[in-house]
Amino acid sequence: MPSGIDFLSQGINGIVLGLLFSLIAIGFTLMLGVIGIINFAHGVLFALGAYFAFTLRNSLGFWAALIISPLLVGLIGIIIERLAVRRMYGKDALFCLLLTFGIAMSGEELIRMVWGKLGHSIAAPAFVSGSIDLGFMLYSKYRLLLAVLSALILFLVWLFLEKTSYGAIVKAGAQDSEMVAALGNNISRMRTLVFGIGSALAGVAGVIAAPLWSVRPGMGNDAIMPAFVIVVLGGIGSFWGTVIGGLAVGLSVSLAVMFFPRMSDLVMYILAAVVLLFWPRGIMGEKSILED
Amino acid sequence: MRRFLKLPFVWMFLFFLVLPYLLPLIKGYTALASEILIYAMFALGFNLLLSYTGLASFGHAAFFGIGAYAMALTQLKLSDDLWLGLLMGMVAAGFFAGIVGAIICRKRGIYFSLLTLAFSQMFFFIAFRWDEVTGGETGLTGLRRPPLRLPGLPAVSLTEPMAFYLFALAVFMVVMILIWRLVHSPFGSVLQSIKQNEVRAKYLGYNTVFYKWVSFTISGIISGLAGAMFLLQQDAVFPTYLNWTESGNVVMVTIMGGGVVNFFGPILGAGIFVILQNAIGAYTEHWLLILGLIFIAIIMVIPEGILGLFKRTKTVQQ
Amino acid sequence: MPILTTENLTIAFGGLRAVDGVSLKIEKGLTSVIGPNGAGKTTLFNLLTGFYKPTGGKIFFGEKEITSLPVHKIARLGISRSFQILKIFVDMTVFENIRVAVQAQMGHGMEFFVSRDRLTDVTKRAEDILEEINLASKGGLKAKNLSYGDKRILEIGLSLAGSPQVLLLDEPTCGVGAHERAGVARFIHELTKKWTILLVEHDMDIVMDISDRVVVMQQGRVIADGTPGEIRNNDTVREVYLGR
Ligand SMILES: Nc1ncnc2c1ncn2[C@@H]1O[C@H](COP(=O)(O)OP(=O)(O)OP(=O)(O)O)[C@@H](O)[C@H]1O
Ligand SMILES: [Mg+2]
Repeated sequence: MPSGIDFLSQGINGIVLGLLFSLIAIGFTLMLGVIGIINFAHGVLFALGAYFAFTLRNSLGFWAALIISPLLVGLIGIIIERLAVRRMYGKDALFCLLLTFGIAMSGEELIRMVWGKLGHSIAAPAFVSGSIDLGFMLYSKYRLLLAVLSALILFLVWLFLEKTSYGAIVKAGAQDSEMVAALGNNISRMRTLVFGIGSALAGVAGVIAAPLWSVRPGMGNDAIMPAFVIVVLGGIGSFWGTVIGGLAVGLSVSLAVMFFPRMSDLVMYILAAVVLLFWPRGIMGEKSILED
Repeated sequence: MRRFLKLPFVWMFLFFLVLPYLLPLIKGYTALASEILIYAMFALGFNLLLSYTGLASFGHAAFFGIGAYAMALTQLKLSDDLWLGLLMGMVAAGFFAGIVGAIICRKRGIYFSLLTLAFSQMFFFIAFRWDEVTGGETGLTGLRRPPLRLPGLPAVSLTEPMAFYLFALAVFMVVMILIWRLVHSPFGSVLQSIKQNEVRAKYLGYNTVFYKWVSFTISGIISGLAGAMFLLQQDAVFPTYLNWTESGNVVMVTIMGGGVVNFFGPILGAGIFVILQNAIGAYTEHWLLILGLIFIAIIMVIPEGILGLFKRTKTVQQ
Repeated sequence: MPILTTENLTIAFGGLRAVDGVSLKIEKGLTSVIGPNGAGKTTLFNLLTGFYKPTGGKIFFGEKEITSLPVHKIARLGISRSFQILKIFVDMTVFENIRVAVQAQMGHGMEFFVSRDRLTDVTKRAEDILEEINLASKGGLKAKNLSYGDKRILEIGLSLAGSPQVLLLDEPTCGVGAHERAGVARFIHELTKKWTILLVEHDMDIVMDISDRVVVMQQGRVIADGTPGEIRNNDTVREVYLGR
């Protein structure tokens, strides 16, 4: 029987993981809520972030990689949007889903060609190697850093959405088609920007997750699936829904690891199914245009 | 006889009879032809939902996989009767499709796609983790193809690729004709009306959620049958059959062939997909890259699919 | 016995009471509901047909209470409606539109393997309705290729096909251009001979011309109820609506 300390440590693990999951999902849900597209390539962008960091860290160090990799991924996102995704606007949402499905498929294979089939583990940066004594237990310093960074970036996203005028437009774009019309030409720039930001957020999540999960060509799947589940859990396009959904997934996965280790990948789907029965649109979800 | 020759099914049947002899020209083989038929069956069942009901499921590989596992488990635990195995494949897939459908058929649009995906991943992980029953990651292997027994006839062995191909062709023809009749039945009209305007369909007095559920379940049953047939073809089943990439493939295949505008589109799509996969795979291990690029190109250039292209040029000429 | 009765029917969206304590008795003949934009007319229709669940009050169809029944059940009982924003099946032909509506009424839905072309009773009835709505010559056209006025008529045709006992028409002339307007108006007039209708319409000429009774709504409430003549001379109504 797990002791209280086990509970506590898995609980902390769950929150740490949950923040990371929220960070992974936030870009995805932003694109879904604001542009109305499901971006299957989100997982590949996440993986790219991790791989760029893997390559850059040796020469530039952790902090530089943390900044540069997401920028690169954001740039790739913008290119994808400009060249391909934008042609799908106004068509059935299914087409964008399939387009990004194709991108995800070839993207993963490209990673395999460039960086090889095998995974690599990445050490945590030297200044956070080892553990810290929390008084009642030892805890990995890197995990704490990961939690802090994730929370910080989520906070920045929140600031952008809630406190800047551009954020207000972005949020309105999601619900208010008149607003969208009033924006005229700028709507297209806004979508590009949101796609870029969403991609960069996937990238930064990849950088942060790399030391924890190591890098593998298929690692995108570890990001895209939780992102889906979190959106179902939290509700489409909702910031707080995403955070709550992320924490719920993180905690349930961590606790499942302790009680039913074999069910640990399954538990988030069960959670989603259960939540769905009680909150048909997710915990924070409102009626969305995407249901039509 | 003239009327008979007008039926597209007759031509289709004749074409598939010669297909195994054509495939070697492009380095194919008989088993590949069986694979095409099975995949076409899967895509037709899927398209009942996509194009005839307007529901884009992104988790249909789950029902395909469940069908395959059910067939395998029937053979391992119960009996190696061919018909029983196929039946169990359909029953199991239909059962789970019924449950999933009951939960999600009220949803629409992208939200529906999201949920089908989430549910299919749940089944994927069950297959992946439940070692005792599903064999876990390594799946169930070493199954065999039971002989075909028909009442009053001697048992026929299906181990020869050509024998199995002909059996698959028979099953395929039956399934295709049944789906054809389904979409041209009064039930098919209701599905169409739901696709085009669900609110109005409700106001006409149709319980649209129930209709969608029936369509979802039937589509699941057909996918399960395809999965069970695929098990016979491969003599093995792995959790990857249920993976979301497989679900994506069947959507892509259906769209690529032009399933949205033409009943036969999914069949063409399946043929192209299986042959491409085989052909590119022979040249490079990075065939997923090429396949992904082809998908991207199709969505960008001919989103209505290949048979849709014919329709486009036709209307342009008029 | 009124055909439709509402008692204190109310629905609130957040703080807004879009329909507020409406009690009506709808009798045979043509009753019009008028009122300024946002008065709650469409919302009233949505309540009567089960599309929204009321926050308070009751609805009776004849003697049967239908409050909170789902849309399709109410439709099957014989309450049918047309929409302010067209809801026709654009990718079907005009005939197919009507056929699928007729099929619903005749109970042919869950038939999987018969050809729908073999349902001669359905086909016959669909053709009759096409005659009735004067679209017989356009039966083979895709609905999306109809002129706007014909689309409006098809919209009503879809609601007629189920031979309802009450027909709720929500702004049937909405958006119809001047050259087709007279035709649509004549068509509605024809309908009044045969059906019991509840009509929402902004065109006062049409309303005053053909209604047996007019109900005026404002901000969710009924502020007047009477014959066209009475309504024309009602001071409150003039103030809030006609006198604009
Ligand atoms: N689903 C809803 N959620 C929130 N508010 C609603 C909803 N439906 C209607 N309303 C509001 O209820 C009020 C009445 O709307 P309704 O559409 O019934 O008006 P109407 O009388 O049909 O107007 P019009 O003549 O413009 O068609 C409006 O203020 C509208 O914004
Ligand atoms: Mg209205």
